[in-house]
This record gives sequence, C-alpha cells and structure tokens, in this order.
Amino acid sequence: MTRYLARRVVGMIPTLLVLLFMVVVMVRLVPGSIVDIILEETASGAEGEAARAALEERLGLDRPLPVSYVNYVTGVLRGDLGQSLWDQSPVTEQVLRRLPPTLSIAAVAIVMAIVLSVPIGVLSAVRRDTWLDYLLRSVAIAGISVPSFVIGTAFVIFPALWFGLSLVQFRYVSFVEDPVANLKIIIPPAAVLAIGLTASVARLMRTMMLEVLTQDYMRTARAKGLTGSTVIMRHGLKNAMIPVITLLGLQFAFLIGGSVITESIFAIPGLGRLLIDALRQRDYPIIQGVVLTIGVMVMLTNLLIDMSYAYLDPRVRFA
Amino acid sequence: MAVEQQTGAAAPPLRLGTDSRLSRFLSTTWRFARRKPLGAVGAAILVILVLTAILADVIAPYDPVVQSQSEALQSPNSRHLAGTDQFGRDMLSRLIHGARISIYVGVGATILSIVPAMAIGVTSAFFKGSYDYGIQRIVDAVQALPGLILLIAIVAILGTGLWNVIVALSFGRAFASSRIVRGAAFQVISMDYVDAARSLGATNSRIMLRHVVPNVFAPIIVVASLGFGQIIIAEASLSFLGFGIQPPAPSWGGMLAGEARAYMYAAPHILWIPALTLGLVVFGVNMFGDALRDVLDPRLRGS
Repeated sequence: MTRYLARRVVGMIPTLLVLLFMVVVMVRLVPGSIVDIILEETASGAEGEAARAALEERLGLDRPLPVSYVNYVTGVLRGDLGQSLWDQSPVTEQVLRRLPPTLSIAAVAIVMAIVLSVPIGVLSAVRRDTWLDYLLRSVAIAGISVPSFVIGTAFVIFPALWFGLSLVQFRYVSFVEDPVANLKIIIPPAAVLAIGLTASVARLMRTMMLEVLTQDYMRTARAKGLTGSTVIMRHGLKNAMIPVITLLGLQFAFLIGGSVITESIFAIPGLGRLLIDALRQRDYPIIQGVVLTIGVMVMLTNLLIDMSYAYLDPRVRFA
Repeated sequence: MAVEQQTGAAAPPLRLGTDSRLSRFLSTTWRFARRKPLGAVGAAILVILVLTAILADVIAPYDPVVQSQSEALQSPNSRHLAGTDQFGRDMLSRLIHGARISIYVGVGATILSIVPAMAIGVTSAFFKGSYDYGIQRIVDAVQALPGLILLIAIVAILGTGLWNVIVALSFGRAFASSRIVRGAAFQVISMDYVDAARSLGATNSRIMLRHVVPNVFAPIIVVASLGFGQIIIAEASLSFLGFGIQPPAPSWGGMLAGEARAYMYAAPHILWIPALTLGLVVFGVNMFGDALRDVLDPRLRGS
C-alpha cells in the first residue's frame, strides 16, 4: 500500500509541473500587450514607464519564461501565489479566505446527493421496467439536462414569485459565527448543485445495482433464506457502491466548476466568485492562483479516489 | 414502404441501388425510432433546432437586436408570441437567433476539436513510450481543471466573443476526447492489418492516416454527439456569467444573465422561456446522443 501510494504521488509531480507551466504561460499568451490592456483599464497611464515596469515585474514578464517559471514554482512551494494587481493583497490569503464557503457548499451538495440518489437508484433497479422506474429515470435524465445556472435561476425566481421568499442572502456569515445563518446561505446553492449530481449518481447506482442483482452470490443469499431487504442492503448495495463512490469523487470537479455559477447567482464570496471578479478586473495573479488551486484540489481528489480503490480492491494494490 | 421496394425490384439495377439505399435508410431510421423512442424525440428536437438555426432570418418575426422602449416587458401576446424583454426586443426572434448561435458554437467547437483530438490520441497510442507519457501528463493537467474553470482561464487569455468562445470550447473538448481516441487507437494498432501494413513498408504517417484514423471514427462520432449537448450548456453558462457571447447578440445563456433577473417580478417570462428552451434542447441532444451511443458503441455505456 505504501509503495503504491508513493508511486502514485510521485507520478503526480510531472502533471503538477505542466499545470504550473500552463498557469505561468497564461499571461504571455494574451494577444497584444497585456500591460497596455491592464493599464488602459485601470486608467493609471499617468505614471507612465514606472508603472509599466512595475506591472511587468509583477506579472513576471520582465524575465525570460524559464526564469519566471522557476520563480513562480518556488513561490508556490513557499505558499506565495503573488499579489493582486488591484489591491496588492497576497493572493494566497484571498484564496484561503474564499475556500471555506466553496468547500462547504460542495460537501453539503455531496451529502444531499448521496441521501437522495442511493435510494432512488436502488428502487429504480429493484422495480426495474415498472412505471416507477421509468418515472425516476426520466426525472434523472431531465436533471442531467438542465444546466445548473437554469436550476439556480429557478431557485431564485420561483420562491420569490410565489411566496415572496428570497433565497439570496447578501451578507455571508461563516459557520463559526452563526451555524444556522450559515446553513441558510449554504443550502440553496448546495441544493442546486445536488440536483445534477443526484441525477448522474442515481443513474450509475441503478446500472450497478442491476449488474449486482444478477450475480450468483445474490441468488445464494436468497437461497439460504435471507429476507429480501437484507439481500438488497447487505449483499447488493455494498457491492454496487464502489463505482458510485468513484463517481462521487470524480464529480468533485463538477462541483467546483459549478461553484462559479452558484456563487454568482447566490452572491456567495467563494472561490468561484473570486475567479469571476478577478476576470472582470483582469487581475491575472488572482486568476492564476485560483486556477492553480482548483487544479491541485482536483488532482488531490483523484489521488484519494485511487487510494480508496487500492484500499477496497487488493488487485489494484498488488498490480 | 413495401410498394416502394417492389417498384425498386422491377427497375434497372442502377435505380435499384439508390432505391434500396433510401429504403434501407428509412427502415434503419424507423427501427431506431421504435427501439429508442426517447432517442427519436431527441432527434426530432435536434432537427427542429438545426432548421430553426438555418432558417432564422426567414422565420424570426422581428429583428432580434432592435430595441423598442415603448414595447418593453410585454407578456406573451399575439404580436409577440414569447413577449418582449426589458429593451422591447421580441423574445421569440431572440430565441430563434439564439438557436443559430448555439448551433454555430456546437458545430464549430465540435469540428475544431476533432482534428487535435485525433492528432493527440492517435500519435500518443502509436508512438507509445516517453512521447505518450509526456503527452498524457499534459492531458492530465488540462483535465485537472473543471470544464468551466478551463473555459474561464482561456477566455481570460483570448477575450470574449463568438470565435474566442468556440476556440476555448474546442480546446477543452479536444483534450477530453483525445483520451477516448487514444484508447480506441490502441486497439486498432494491435490489429493484424497494421502489422501487415508495416511489413509492407508503410511509413508511420501512412499507417496512422490510412489505417488507424479511419478506424477510430466510430467512437469519435459518439463522443462528439455526447459532447454537443455539453458544449451548448458550456456556452450558455459562460454567456450567463457575461464572458461568452456578448450582448446584444442573443445567446440563450446571456438572456438569463444578471440584469434580466432584475425583472423577475415584473416579467418572469423573460427568464423562464429561455430557460425552458435551453433545458428542452439539451434534453433532446442528450437523449439522441445516449441512443446513438447504445446503437453504435455499447461498450461506452455508462461512461
């Protein structure tokens, strides 16, 4: 296990270096002069050459690419992602401050999705080809089809229209300050993300359950006189869950990507909002920092999935 | 249909060929519709979407960008079947022209992604070794970014607008589908006919272009059809955030963007009508893609 883990972690390094390279080269790929674009938009042209030079240095454009790459990487290793062009604040600090809302929304969405999708998938498989199965499957496909920003918009307009109820809180409160207020803020966006997630997980759950139901050990379990529900729960569900857990891990990327949408709809100061605001202001160090952070988070999640695989399935460990 | 086949049989051989091809196409389509009713519904939605996009100039009752303040925020009525938005623009015309933008983006990004996906996937599978390793680490790095984040990063480089959005979308798609091309290409390369070609002295590029590429087309078509719906959603999401197709161009996602939400009490139709249209179209495209996958390549089921 340790050897497998070590190999897997070392294997991540080249990918990480490529990701870092993409992040560093980003500012150089902007067509035209990025410095002109930013100076024009911030309307600080008066300072002239000095401002240009300062900006070039800030973006690492005053040195050749390999040098600024090495500088950026060593900065990252020290936990330094540079400074915002806008208010000179350290990017690392901004990212860390915006991380908790995004992660808690993702966590709540995953919990909601598990609670809903597992029973739906099992029911759909056990009652295969009945009207209930068709209904659940159609709803699941609809859930996958509707983009999260449409669901989010619906979450905002319909309660407001019908009950005069606003789900958008304009002041963010952290969980430590006031758990109830925090959950009130977290739950609507989490529910929006959970809908798409539930739909895709329920579909996989159904497929896996159907596969498991035809296995010999299910027949054996039934033959030795276990009750129907014990067979389904103990023998069926447990075996069907492994790929479902993998899917949940993979969907983490979907949740983080979705945060850009939900956080802008529900006015939540998370990582997604930070990215959007930075893009509006062309604050490249922040864009770079957020992109890198998200990429690393997704890579770490993939590592966790692989580890859980190795833990659950000895064949992977010893391969 | 039976009558057609009989006349076909009585005709000269040449006509028989075309006739039976047509009837074969019809019967295949019919069988597809019978076996995959939801897929057929999806196909119908897709056909309507494409026709709407092609005929947008003809069927749209008004100019989609001309404003008319005196007619702003009308509910659906006989003059404006889907009502008007906050600038008095006809919603139906905007939806119809929005279909054209969705199709431009969907088709453009799909086509643009196929060549790089092929190039990455086929060469990676063909040369194997350290080349494959290096290329796959790049693919890994790109894949580590969730779709929308990657799009935003590319738009941060290129800027907004129709062409930049198409390029940005095709970039992500190319890397995603290159994985599937690579998998398929590995299988093809292990085939005897590739060895045969090699022993006859075929060059690497000839083997790749003449033997491998044609044989990985089936999975590419399936992946492209499944990706089409995702591309439409991605464009709409990006435009919704304000970084995609820029107003006044009528993108469906843009129609739901921030400022429209300010009118949700006065005129909810300016939100729910585009939302419903978008949901229906993506539903249709997904259903069609699902059915197509089941028919063309059952191995990809569940992916």
